[in-house]
Amino acid sequence: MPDGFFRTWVERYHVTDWNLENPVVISPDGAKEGFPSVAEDPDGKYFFVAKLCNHCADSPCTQVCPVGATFISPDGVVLVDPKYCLGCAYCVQACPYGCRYIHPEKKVADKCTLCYHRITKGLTTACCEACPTGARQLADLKNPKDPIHAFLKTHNVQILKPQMATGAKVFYNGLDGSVR
Amino acid sequence: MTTGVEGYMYPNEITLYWSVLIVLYPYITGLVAGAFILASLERVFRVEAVKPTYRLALLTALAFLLVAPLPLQLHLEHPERSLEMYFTPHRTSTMAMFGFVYLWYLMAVLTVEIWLDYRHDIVVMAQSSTGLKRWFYKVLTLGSNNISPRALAVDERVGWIITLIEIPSAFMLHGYVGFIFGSIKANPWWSSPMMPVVFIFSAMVSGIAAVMLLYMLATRLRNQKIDMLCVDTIARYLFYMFVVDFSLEMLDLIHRIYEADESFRSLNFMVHTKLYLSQLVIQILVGTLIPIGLLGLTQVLKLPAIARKRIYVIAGCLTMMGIFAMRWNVVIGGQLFSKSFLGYTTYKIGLVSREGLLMSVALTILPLFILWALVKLFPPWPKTEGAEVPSETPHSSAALV
Repeated sequence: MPDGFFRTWVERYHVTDWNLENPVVISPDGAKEGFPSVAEDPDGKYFFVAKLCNHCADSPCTQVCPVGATFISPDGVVLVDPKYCLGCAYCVQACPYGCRYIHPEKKVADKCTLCYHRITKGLTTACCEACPTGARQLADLKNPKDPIHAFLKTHNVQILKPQMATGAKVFYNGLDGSVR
Repeated sequence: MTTGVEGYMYPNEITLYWSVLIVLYPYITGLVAGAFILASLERVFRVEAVKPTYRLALLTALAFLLVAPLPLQLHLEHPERSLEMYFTPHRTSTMAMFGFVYLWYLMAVLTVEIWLDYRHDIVVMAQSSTGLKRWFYKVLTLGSNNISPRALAVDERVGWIITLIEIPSAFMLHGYVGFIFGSIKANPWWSSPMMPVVFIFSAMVSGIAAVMLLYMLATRLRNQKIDMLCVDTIARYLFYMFVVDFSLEMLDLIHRIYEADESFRSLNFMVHTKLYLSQLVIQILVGTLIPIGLLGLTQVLKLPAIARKRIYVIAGCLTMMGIFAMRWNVVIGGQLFSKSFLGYTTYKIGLVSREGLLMSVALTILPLFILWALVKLFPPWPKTEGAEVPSETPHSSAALV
């Protein structure tokens, strides 16, 4: 991965009751080296939000690509064909979530691929594999037997920026209202 | 932490992806559309007073249109793949479809109109010039040497129809650029149905100002007298367009301030800090209010010609600066704030890099060189006495002043 660009990153939010609308958010170097420690705040809370490409069903990045280098695979994963991409960065501008970038060496658009090379072999994504608490889980929405369906029915689940109507497919359980 | 970042930006947002070249592109296509609209004032709307600038306006539009793809090609990381936009366009992409609008405007309308208007002169020059130039003009005649009154009348009629089609085409050319920005829902600074309209009117302002300045400069360089009725008329239209453009921009601003949606606080802070110089000072004060005020003065007061000329030059130059600043504020401004609405970054413009300052200056000057060459090859004004016979087409009959 090139320095300074991230396919996934973690944000730490500090929300107090006086800055609900303006949380303090940090993600030092994408949280690659963790976060600076802080004392407990009796008036507020700290929590973490992992961000990645939302692999939107109505993805604006796919809509704007002038040559169709960005496309949605039959299994619903938004991918970039690096051999076709012009590097115009229109998709980077169109993404509401900031998950895309132009790779500084390959000079094409790049982003989370949902570890397509792993999931097509029956493995889970690298980020889910690495997560020590199982907070990140890969689910198969198309499989009616997948536990995700029961989970969605029984928990308070949100997506990021629902007003954008992108059909985002990354679901957050109990997402705080201050998350951007 | 990366320097130049205040607050929080999504990590991938810290770098700006669209540089000053992407600022230049709408500026250049705006000049094209505006120059052409001035030409159409005479051709379609029969505003006889601006006839001296008709051909110059068309050549200006062509010179800038030829340069327009260059900033885009220089910006692309893989320009060698750019033709795929024509061969395998993604039909939902505004950027891909725009390539066809550009091609249509260049190949089907602007060059055809210029050819039709100059056809008589091309035939005459093919017969009277020598060497390489003769060959050049001969090719351009496309095999026809017919400059009978009937043939010229047909040219005039077809040219009129082409110009009629060209007016919405020019609006499409530049309005589309506005739509490319305005249709991005992810970016609240850009996303607006007003964007194509604001772009079109600011394009007309900059294009009209450019042709006015070029006409005044060229006339001085030729040691001719400036046709005051012509420049007074152009300045009047410039004033009207400017008032409309300013009203549209103020409407957008007032609407934003009143509605104060989730992005407002972040954008407002950005305008007052990061964009203070480029937007409040250069675009609004120096680039809009002062030129409107100066042009307004010429409308209400009876000023002598020398004063009017000076005002037009100052207002024209300030206008060109102001419209560039407007493009800057849209493109660069749209990338300076975070989509989290919690932070800001900085645009670090290179000096000698492919997308740097020197390249932008070169790309802005290049169309003037092309225009100089076009003016030499296709003189937009009647020749002085002692030289070749001036053209006498039914359409072009600019008086020698």
